[in-house]
Amino acid sequence: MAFTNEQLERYSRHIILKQIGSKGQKKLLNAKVLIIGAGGLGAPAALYLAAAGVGTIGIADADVVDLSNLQRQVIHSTADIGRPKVESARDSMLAINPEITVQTYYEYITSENIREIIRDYDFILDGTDNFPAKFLINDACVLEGKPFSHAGIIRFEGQLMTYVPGQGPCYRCVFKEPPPKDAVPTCREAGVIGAVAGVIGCLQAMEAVKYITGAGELLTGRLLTYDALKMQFRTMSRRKAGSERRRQMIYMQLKEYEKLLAHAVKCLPEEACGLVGGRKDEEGNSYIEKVFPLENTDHSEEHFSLDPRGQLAAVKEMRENGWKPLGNWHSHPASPSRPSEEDKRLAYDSSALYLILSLMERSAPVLNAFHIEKDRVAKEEIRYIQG
Amino acid sequence: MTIVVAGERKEYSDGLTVDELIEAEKVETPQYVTVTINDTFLSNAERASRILQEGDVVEFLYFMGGGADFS
Repeated sequence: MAFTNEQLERYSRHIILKQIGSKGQKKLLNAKVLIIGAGGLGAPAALYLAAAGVGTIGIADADVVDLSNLQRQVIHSTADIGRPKVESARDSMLAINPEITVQTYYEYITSENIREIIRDYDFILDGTDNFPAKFLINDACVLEGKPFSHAGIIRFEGQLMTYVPGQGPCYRCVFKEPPPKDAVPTCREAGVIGAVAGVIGCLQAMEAVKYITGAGELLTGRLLTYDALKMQFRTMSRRKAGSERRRQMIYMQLKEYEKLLAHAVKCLPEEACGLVGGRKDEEGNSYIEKVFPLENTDHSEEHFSLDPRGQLAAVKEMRENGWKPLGNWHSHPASPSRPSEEDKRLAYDSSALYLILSLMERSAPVLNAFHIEKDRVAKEEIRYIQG
Repeated sequence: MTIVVAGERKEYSDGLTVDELIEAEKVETPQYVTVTINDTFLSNAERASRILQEGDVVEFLYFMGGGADFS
């Protein structure tokens, strides 16, 4: 593919860079990058990726432009208020670079559509503003083997990391699970300075360009944090996680976790308990489809016994749905989320899952899953899925 | 005879007692298991004497308990 004179002129500042050159520019023109979120982060990223000549840019956002967006979402202007953000974004991108293709997704990205959408792209940018979406993007990219840039901003701070399959931990390896609802404020509640979005969003675009052209080193295995007030960038290294794909995972519906948590809180100060039902796939991954809260016949703050009648009803319901009992769960109102000596002693099956919810810190409940064989306890990772 | 054990159809010879079934099925922690036959809970005492019939639906419910016991 030869460059036109206009392209040579347009991309001259790239082409003369040793690390980019005409080879790198060709790669950019052939690349496909998806930006999820046309807001604070997506806006600057999209503008720079369009300017760089990324041949196909996908942009997804279910929202319309709002006056309060304009303080930072520089891809939209006052005249765009009320328009779908993806359309406003597309117009800005094409005004900069008419020869690229912009694919708009004026819809929510959910567990129903995300895997199919990301499959078409080479690199994904997380420009979302909420934790469930960030974990959804992470999980989908890990499952589909797609590299992506994670970022988040609030007040005067931002953070950034890049995931490349096989080259370091993913977002969830670092941050385990979404924080409890309302634990972390949104930008609407806490505020965010516009330029922080610019700094971090541009860094995301930079990572995408580097990935596509092979230039430099990516921010894999490292978390970058930016403190605008202190004018400090810090990088923290994370150990490489085990291969995400090959580990046996436990997948749990987020709403089932929320149900379990709500029931356990309601039972305080007593221990709450129940069964979990679902299925296992050929690779040994477990999928918890339903949490069954059952009566703790001990009615105690320190012990639990599952009500057998409740167990029977739950097991029958599982059979009707084609599920199996995967294990049980109980809460520790005032102690950590790990099996006690009694828990270990009464673990009836080494292949069953034992989920333990700690409510020691009310604002930060912790749910962990374990396999228990006599005295050997193995902690397993739970991934929450939505939809 | 055909009986349903933990959701699966299984073939066993006639005259099988519940205790024998528990052993044949390699039930974990047999001292802690609760047996239901056709949705009725069986007492432990009956396990040696109760003979399974064609079409019986058997569930094994494991005693599940535990606690916090942190000092």
